[in-house]
Parts: sequence; C-alpha cells; structure tokens
Amino acid sequence: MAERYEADTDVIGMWLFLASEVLFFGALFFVYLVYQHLYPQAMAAGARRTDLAFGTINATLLLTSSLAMSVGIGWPDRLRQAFLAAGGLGAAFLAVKTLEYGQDFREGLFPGVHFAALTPEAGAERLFFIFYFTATAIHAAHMLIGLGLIAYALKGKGSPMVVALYWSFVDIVWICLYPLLYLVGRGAG
Amino acid sequence: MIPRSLLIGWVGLLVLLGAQIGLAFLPLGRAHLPVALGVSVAMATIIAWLFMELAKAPRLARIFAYGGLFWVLALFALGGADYATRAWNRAAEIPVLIRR
Repeated sequence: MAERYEADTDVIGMWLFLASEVLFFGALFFVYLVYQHLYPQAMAAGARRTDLAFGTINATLLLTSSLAMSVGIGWPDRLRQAFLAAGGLGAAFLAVKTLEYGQDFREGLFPGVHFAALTPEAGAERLFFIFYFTATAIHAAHMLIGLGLIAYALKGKGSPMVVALYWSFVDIVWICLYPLLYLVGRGAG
Repeated sequence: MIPRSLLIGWVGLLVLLGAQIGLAFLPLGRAHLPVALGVSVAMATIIAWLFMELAKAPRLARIFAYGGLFWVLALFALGGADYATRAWNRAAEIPVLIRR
C-alpha cells in the first residue's frame, strides 16, 4: 500500500510541475499571439521561410518517441528497449534541429546583424525569428534534459513514469509550436 | 508487438499532423491560426489521455492537469485584456492620445 501511494505521489508531483510548465510556455505562446495580431503579414513572411520538411520530420520523430515511452511504461518487461528507442528518436530530433539551425544561419534567418529581411516590415519579420529561435532553443533545452532523464532511468534510478510524462509533455510543446513556426501563414491566404 | 490502442493513437496523431499541413494550404484567411491550433489541441489530448495515461491517472494528477489548462486560460484572458485595453501597443498614436 505504501508503495502505491509513493508511485502516485511521483505522478501527481510531475503533473503539478507540468502545469507550471504550461504557464511557462503559455507566456511564450501569448507573445506569439500578440505579434500575430500586430504584424500578420510579417509573421506569415517569417513562417514561409522556415523549413517545413525539417519541422515535419521532427514532429513525426517526437510523436513516435512518445509512443515508445508509452509502451515502456505500460509493459515493464519492454521498458529498456522502449526507453532506448525513445532516446534514439529524441537524439535524432536534436540532430535534425542542428542541421536546420545550420541552414537557418546560412540563409540569414538568425535575427542578429546579418539578418536578411524579405519584406519592408523588417523589424516585425525579425520578431518572428526572435520567437522562432527562443522557442526552439527552450524546447531543445527541454529535450536535452529529457535525454538526461532517460539515461538516469536506464540505470534503474528514479521513476520511469515520471520520465515518460516529462518526455510526452515536451512532445506536446512541439506539437503546439509546430503550426506557429511552420504552418500559419505558409499557404496562399 | 505494440499494443493496438497505442498504435491506433499513434496513427491518429500522424493523420492529424497530415491534416494540419493540408489545411495550412487551403484559403482559410484569418481562420488559419485557430484551425491549426485546434488540430494541435486534438493531438495534445490524444498524447495526454492515452500516452501519458491521464485516463488512468490518480484523481489529483488529473486535477493538476485541468488546473494547468485553467491557469493558462487565465493568463491568456488577463494578458489579453491588458493588451487589448492599453495604448502601449499603438506607440505611433501615443503623442495624439497625450495631446487630447
């Protein structure tokens, strides 16, 4: 009975932490909504310059890694394989993101001194890429922490369920960022 | 073998992702943002409910999950009210407002 309560406490504590993470990312999304309301054209111009293929591959990798995590916690005899698979897919996400950042820098998308704006609203277009780099960097930091947690769980330490909850939450964050960074504004109108 | 329910959830997520991409290229005008976010919310619900086992979670965990949603809606409502009712977002008009 005591173990049962202990396991519950882990899970409940993680959900409370995730609720605070929702607020953290919520503030970031709110900033996007304000930018989008103020400068719809420049934000659309920004979204057209991100690489849809990279973003979509990464969304697929993360969705699949969440599936692997879920298999791991539902069937403890497959935990090791499942967590290794999820970690591998997470590392692949970061590799793709690194390639994408390289391309972004070469195309002058980083909002520094070499930023290459395409529209007259250069300042607002720069805001899109400030949002893009801030959001993706914070997300990538969460991914790195997630990989660390997976390594910790693979050593048989901590609670696998807590790691899985964190991992899938980081997946949800990407699922919410993805349309803002890659889709809204990409189409004709 | 991967359990059937999880596999169905995963396929559903990929279908929704594809639908989200397809919808982005339709002429939806101002509806693009709410439509895309609607699909994201559906996907997040599948992940939370099925993959994160919210359906089987302790009641208090579910209260925190709903609490997170409630708090972020409060953040959007209060932040939005502030943004909508102040002149700071219309910097160009501020001198005019002050002269009046």
